[in-house]
Amino acid sequence: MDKFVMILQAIEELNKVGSWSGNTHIQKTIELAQSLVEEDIYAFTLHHYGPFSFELREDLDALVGAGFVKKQTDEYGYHYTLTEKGRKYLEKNKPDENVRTAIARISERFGKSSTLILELISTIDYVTKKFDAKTDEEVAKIVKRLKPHFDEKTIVHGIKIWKEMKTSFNFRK
Amino acid sequence: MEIRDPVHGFVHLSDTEREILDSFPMQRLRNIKQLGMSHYVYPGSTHTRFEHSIGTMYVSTQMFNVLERKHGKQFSRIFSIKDDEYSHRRFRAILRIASLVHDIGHAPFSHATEGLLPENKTHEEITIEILRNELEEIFSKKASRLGVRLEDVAFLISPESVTEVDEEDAKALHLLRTILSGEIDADRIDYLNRDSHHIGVIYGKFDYMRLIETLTIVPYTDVFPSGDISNTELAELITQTIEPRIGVEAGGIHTVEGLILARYFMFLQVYFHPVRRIYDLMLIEFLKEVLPNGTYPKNVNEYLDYDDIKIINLIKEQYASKDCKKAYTIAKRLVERDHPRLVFERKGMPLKIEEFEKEITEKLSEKFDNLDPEVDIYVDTPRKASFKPEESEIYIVRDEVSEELVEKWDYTRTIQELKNGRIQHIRKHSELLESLPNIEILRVYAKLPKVEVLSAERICDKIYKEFHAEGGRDG
Repeated sequence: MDKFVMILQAIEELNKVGSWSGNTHIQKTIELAQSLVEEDIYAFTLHHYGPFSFELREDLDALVGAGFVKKQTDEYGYHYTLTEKGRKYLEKNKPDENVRTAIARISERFGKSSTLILELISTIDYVTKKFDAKTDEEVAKIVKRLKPHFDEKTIVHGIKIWKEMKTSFNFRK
Repeated sequence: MEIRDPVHGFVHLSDTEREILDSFPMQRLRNIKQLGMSHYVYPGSTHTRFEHSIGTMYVSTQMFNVLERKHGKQFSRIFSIKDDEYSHRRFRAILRIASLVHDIGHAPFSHATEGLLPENKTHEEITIEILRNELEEIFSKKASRLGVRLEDVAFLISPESVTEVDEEDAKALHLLRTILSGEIDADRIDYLNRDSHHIGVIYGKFDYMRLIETLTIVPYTDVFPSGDISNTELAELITQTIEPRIGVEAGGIHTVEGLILARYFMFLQVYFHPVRRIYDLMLIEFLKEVLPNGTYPKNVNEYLDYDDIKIINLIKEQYASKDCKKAYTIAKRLVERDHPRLVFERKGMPLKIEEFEKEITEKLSEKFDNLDPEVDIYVDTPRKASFKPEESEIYIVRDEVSEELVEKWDYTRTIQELKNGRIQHIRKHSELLESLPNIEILRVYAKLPKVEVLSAERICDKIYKEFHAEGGRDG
């Protein structure tokens, strides 16, 4: 699949739901979407603020440089919208149906969430994939170790939401 | 024990630190140049990871001490550690040792050959393996007396690789990690100044002593406008989340600008210098040819055997033996300093860079019969370099509220200060940084005589325009 199309689709969907559509929203939306469709187009590592893909950030910069995406700044930081060129490209090159659905679902669910919520949910997702944690308690323990500023209650609630998201997507598939 | 460092002056080490410094993995860093093949351009660039490691330890200690002094009794609360001398000493020691060993996993010629690490590992992951395999005894016999465990140190380098950390230490370790490797970190402060010092350029120098003096802790939470109705309960819980981050008092704003500009100019002038890069690229191609399976060995002991000296010997062997044509050709060029010329350079890259690279190689080989695509043509972008400037998430705090904030630290107050601008992202403070462009440089090198460069450039330009044009091959 054309990986650039996945980024363009994420920006399109995030903007559609009125999301801030900043770096964090794009990164975490794609991390979660990849997880839902069980594909690893971008490799993520654990950064200070949750899973992060350097390659994805570079591709996003490349899309800005090539005029497919507009990067704007205001008091809250950078956010991204599609340009006419980006929109046309996306019309011609749609991502796979599964990826599209996953991005749309995540954007609906988390597009307007704070970056802290996205950091928590995507870290939970990352931990379930990369660590040998079999129970919710084990997942919570690892998340707490990696993100100690979240309290236990918040992490447990985050795991509940993450599970709902996974189940709902499987159901729709 | 004290060591005279060319950048920071005398650096003092404890007995345990000295023992670590004397270990084989640390001594190996004496033979790993800090800046890959930069000495082909800047002859002074022969400094090593060894002295950078000592310098990083020095800077991280200064940063820790400033925060400790500035925040007084609040320091222990912010770090969630006991307010006693033992705890302060213990966490300072963890930070110092982590700073000292943070680069032991580096491959020969540092970042230049990082792409050849076994199983796509990072040098941080290899650092952890080396710590566990080679330094365990020093930790269990010596460092443990200071309360420093190997896993505490490992957490600061690669938290993902660590499973055994006390829950009550996690907050402190998390914050300490940002001193070693964060937005404003000891690693970066040291290497920018050190590289500048040795190379003889001034781009990397900035008033880092002032920067360290103005460091503070910023209570951070999220103030993005959300209107999130899908996750109200979680949003409510998240409001209790305040994350301590390293920030800077407003008085230090120009030194932060200095740091970021230093990074920017050093990248353009040194780290991504066109001649340095072609030698990095040639070295990578050479090693892909001569290393077993084209990568460094997986076994830690075998890996540690590789340093710059071993690689230089491999180059000399190939230069002498002529057994393998590709390895010999590159070895000869490395020995004789005879590199392919830069024939094309543009700001801005085609999206389909692999396709572009393939076509450039095909067309140049067609046009110039004597070009061997395997060793004579190289396409480079900052993506191929393992080091690049990053966007900065740095928060600036008004001087007069810096101390007050951490004393009365709750969600409402933090939100209020973020909203009224007494805590602000650096973007709001600095139009200068706002205007820094992304670095998107595309380069093509070919082993051609000077007289053919113009002709090669025309071919590259034609392909470049085909990719970039409206409705062109980039879409």
